[in-house]
Amino acid sequence: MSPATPAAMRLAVVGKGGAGKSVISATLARLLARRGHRVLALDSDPLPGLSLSLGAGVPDDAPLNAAAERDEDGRWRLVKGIGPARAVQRFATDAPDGVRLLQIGKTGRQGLAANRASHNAFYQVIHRLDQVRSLDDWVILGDLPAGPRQTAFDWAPYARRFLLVVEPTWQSMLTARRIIRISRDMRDDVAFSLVVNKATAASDAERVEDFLGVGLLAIVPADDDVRDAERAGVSILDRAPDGPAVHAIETLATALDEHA
Amino acid sequence: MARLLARDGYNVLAIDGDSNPNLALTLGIPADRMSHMPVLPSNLLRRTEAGAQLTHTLEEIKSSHSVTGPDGVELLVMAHPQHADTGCLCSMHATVRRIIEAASDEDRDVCILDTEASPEHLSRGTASYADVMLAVVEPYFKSLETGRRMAALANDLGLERVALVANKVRDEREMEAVQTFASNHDLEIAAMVPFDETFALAERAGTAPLDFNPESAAIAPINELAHTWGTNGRA
Repeated sequence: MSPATPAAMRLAVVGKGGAGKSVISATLARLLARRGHRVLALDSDPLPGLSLSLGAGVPDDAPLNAAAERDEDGRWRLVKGIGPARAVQRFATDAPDGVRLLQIGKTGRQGLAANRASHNAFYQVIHRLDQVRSLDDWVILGDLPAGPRQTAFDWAPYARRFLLVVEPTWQSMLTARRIIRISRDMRDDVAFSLVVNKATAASDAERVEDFLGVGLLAIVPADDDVRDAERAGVSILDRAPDGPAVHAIETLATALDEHA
Repeated sequence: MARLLARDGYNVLAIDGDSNPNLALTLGIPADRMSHMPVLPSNLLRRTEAGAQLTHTLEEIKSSHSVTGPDGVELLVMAHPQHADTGCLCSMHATVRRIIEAASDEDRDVCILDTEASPEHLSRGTASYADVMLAVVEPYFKSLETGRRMAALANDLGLERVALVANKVRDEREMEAVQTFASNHDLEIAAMVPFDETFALAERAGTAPLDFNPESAAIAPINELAHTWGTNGRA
């Protein structure tokens, strides 16, 4: 165990829909926690993903709804007495292996409007995470929804490294390239690393790496165990801890530890 | 669906309403043309007492901003975040909503909106003038849950015909899992599309599945889906 101060462990996982962001984020979060890191996982997707892949529950109501209110001008603000530190402390929930999970809240019967407070609270909290001294030695790992939209609207301000989860398809590669371009237009303090997922041939990773011009950190092979876990909606760490996908994500955790 | 209907003589307007626009590629427009695609500008709306209205007719918008793809499908691409100068995609969603409203409901005309992997098109009402919403799901729990939540939002938006399309179904067991989920949540299944290697290979090659292998297993159920739900029963 070497829970070194993970100054560089400020991660956002991005990519096309179905590329495997949630499975990789969740497994990585738990593996890093097992290595002795304290891990805060951030789920900013209004559709189910990260929490199920972690093996945690999906609450009916967005916990952060209690954290924001409108001011006299109708603008959202955090409720008095709740800063980013307290919001994380109070509204993050426990996930397996000691991971703490902060969720934006899922779209349910009441529609998105019901979670407007939570969305606003979440956005404000993530923009002030760097003020939270008690999180300095934590890994912060965010799983973003599919596509470039949240990147474009600055939903990962905490991230110092974007993990691009890319399948060896054109759709997936073009998506990753859009995310890189948008992000580079907006900020210059973020590094990019590539995780090629569902690789079936040796040349897959090389092709993606060449196309994107981003350093490769891990290759996750296509794995029937992942499909099994996905069918059931459970974590691959609980369903197939010795499968090839978990091994590949172990190498990703090691690579990130070395970068940090 | 867009191309199969176009081949049968329908006039098909496809709208890529995804802020991550890939529909052109899957229609069969080569990747190297995609950087030069026209996108819908953000100034196509004007405010009126009756709400936002298009500043041009749909025919004018099509002639200035559409691309004609294989089989004669006409494609309009919504701007993506790189083009959004306002810091918000709201006006683009409103534009697409009005375009769908303006789309012809003549018997041989079909408009298909391909949306983002998010509830944006429902929460912003982008899809509110659609006659039918198809939620494409894979036989995985997260995907089914997403489909269920999308269907609930669509019902709230007042869309009358909402159904699941199960895609990449590998075997009996997966088929049953989808059926059980659908019946537990009172959802209709519009089609079961089998897992088809062709689609994966086409995505790797950056071509349309229909061009890669027109005889492949998934094409027939998609064709049937297109001619039933895709035409809203007018065929």
